[in-house]
Amino acid sequence: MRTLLVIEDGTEYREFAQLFLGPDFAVRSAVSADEALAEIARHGADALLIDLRFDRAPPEALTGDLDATAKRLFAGDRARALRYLQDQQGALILARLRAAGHAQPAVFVHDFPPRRLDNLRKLYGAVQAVPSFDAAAIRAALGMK
Amino acid sequence: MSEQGHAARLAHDVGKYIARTARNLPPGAPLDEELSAMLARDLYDLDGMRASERFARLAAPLLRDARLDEARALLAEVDGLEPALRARDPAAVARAAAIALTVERLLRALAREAAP
Repeated sequence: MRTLLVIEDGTEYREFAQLFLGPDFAVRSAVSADEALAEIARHGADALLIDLRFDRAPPEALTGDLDATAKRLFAGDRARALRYLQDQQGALILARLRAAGHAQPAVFVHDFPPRRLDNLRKLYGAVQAVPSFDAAAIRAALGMK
Repeated sequence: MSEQGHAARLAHDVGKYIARTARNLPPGAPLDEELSAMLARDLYDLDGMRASERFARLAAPLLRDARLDEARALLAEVDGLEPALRARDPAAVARAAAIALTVERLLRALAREAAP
């Protein structure tokens, strides 16, 4: 059976995957890039289902340098930088996984504008997005029936 | 946060999650306990609060829009369905699921329109 690694800061994606994708995948989960890397090292993963926004994660668990982001993008405003890191966390985690050599297909449940999705694909290869929690669409995005 | 940011957050935090179970319910089949509990969490325990409460907080900074008024009224209706939904009454489940999908559609349309 294929393994699906769910990466999120809550439990909603995992619950959804276990209930609606469970027959097709063994579902494992991680709450951060570090945990995802450890999970892949331990158990492998055939596909990734990634949340984009990580509002509930503690700042220290987020991927991305808060101070550097504040300086580079927000004129030193750490609050805006934190919001940015939270809002983009799924993409930042995917960047770390890709940098570590993990090229599994990744699916976001997010209504990306087409240009943003194109850009994610240019940067990170096999990236799909479905706008809602639609089990059939997610299966299709992962190449399942 | 900008109007665009507020609309995107509302579509994500309410629209996307409220429809998580509703979109995947098996057509015509009675709801089992697990699905029923998950649907109830989507509607009445969205990260610790009712979808209607979360909506009210996140929609407050947004400019007036008929879609927000419609979504607000539908979520109030969902609150009224809670006892019947928790009792797995098929008509209540069907109505709540239909509302969830409508609210998701309304909020996504709003977010798309607000995007640059």
